Amino acid sequence: MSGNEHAEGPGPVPARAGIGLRHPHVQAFLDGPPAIGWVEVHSENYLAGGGLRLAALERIRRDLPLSCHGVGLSLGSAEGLDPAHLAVLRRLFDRVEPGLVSEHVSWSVSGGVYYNDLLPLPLTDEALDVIVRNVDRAQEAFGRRILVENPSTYLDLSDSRIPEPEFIGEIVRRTGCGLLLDVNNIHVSAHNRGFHAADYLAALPAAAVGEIHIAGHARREIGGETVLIDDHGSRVIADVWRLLDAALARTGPVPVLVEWDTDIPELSVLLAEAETADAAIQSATARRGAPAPATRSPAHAA
Amino acid sequence: MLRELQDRMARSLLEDFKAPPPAGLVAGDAARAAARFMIHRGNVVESLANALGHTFPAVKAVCGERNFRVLAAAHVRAAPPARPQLMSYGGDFPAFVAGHASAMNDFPFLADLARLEWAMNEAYYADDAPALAPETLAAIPEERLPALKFTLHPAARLVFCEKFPIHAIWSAAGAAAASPDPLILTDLPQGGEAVLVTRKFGPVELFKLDAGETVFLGSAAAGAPLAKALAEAEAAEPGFELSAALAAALSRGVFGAEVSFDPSPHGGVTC
Repeated sequence: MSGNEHAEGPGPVPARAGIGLRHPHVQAFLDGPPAIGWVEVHSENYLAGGGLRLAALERIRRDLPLSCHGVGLSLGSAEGLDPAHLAVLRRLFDRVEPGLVSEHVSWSVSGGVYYNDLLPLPLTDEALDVIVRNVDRAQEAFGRRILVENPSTYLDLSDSRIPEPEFIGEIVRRTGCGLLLDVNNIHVSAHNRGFHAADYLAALPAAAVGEIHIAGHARREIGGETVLIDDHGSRVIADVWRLLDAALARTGPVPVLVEWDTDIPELSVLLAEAETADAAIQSATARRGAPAPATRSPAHAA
Repeated sequence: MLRELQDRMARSLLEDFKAPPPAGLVAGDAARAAARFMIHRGNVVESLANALGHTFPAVKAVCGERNFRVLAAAHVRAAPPARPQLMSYGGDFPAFVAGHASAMNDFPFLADLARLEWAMNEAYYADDAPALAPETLAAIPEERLPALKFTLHPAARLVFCEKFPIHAIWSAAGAAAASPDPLILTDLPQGGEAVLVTRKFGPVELFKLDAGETVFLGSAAAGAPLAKALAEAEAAEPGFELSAALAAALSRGVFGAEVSFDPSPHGGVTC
């Protein structure tokens, strides 16, 4: 424990299943924390100076460990990061003290405009330099290590020269950041871009993984073929559960988040998915022949 | 290089869905790459239009979901967000609506309604701050009251609408079920309305103001000392009751905790 005076609630995010804290379920959390290891929120939804939403998060934070997952920092932007956005994120992190902070290997800002989508990067030396510089900048501004998430993608960019797992591995190696391993993203991208999910998973630096994401996706017919869309709007499919087992076999027990952002169901559905994820973590622990560590934070995972 | 690619892709994201994709995409052949890029175009325009729909639910209800999608998508393309915070996106939507000839022709009050909803959005996300306590007011010696100046609480907003009964329209929109078609508004009162937006107890609350209160709060919020605000309110509404207006303002959390005093004698009012 850091002995931080603000740490009123549990600190590090445990190697258990967590769920995204979504608006329709907030009241249920306020009425009493459900049986869940931890919760994750989208950082950008809590950047207000006050009000009910932030107050609810602070209340829930006293019961449960928290992860802040960013969607607006745009780590892949050639123009660099917005200092004002870094500052308001830092203010949030100081206020709610998340056990984990994460962002994406993608971009969503260009020319100062925010596009609210996670756009693909060309996998080039230049883009690698850009994202490394931006991750360094973010870690410095936040005063902590962050995790970066492998993207879900629908197409390649013609400039790309570096295999994606290698590109991500280099970000980790050069910045000391951790990896948020999204196994649904691997499944979606592998289908859409025609690579083998298992090969991709094997090429990522397992030791750097500080969190895993699982989610459902949509299947859409586009131009006479099926494209998988990363919409986080349904249950996790069997292939993605199998990929989670494969990932946990490499990483050992780490926090696993059930992401669900569209067509949000009853809380009980999310809790049931989390139970399945917890079982996967436990069997990974058993296979390793050691008890699951009580907690795991990025600082300890390095 | 990366910067040019991102600028090119970004510009293309906001173009019409029928426009060709930017150069430099690979997904098998050109048609396939174009189809894949459309996923991103759709994500950007639809997710930002949806964000506007969350912030402006009454505007959406009044003009109907079909019209709103067109209006919101046009705004997204004309003025995409300048910050990666959807809660702060839409501040210029009321002005955009005011300049949209066909929307204003069909719904002449639409820009005012958007203005009210933006005030509610600002109130929802405003900083927490203490409101003026009745004890603070009670402790002020009577002779100093004319010069007393209030500040607006950070979560309080006053929305004046000269021509349209904006509170009644907002209430009707809130009671309506979601529909692709415009809302039929009936039995609306005549004339304009002024609305107070506050957030004293957590949720954002709306109060329709009467004539005297409207002038009193507007004047006080603009920094007039109490004597001047009172004189203006009495002129607007003979029989205006200051004590009732102050009690209502305190219970609704209109004023910030800090007060000050006008240095000129009698609070700037010649008796």
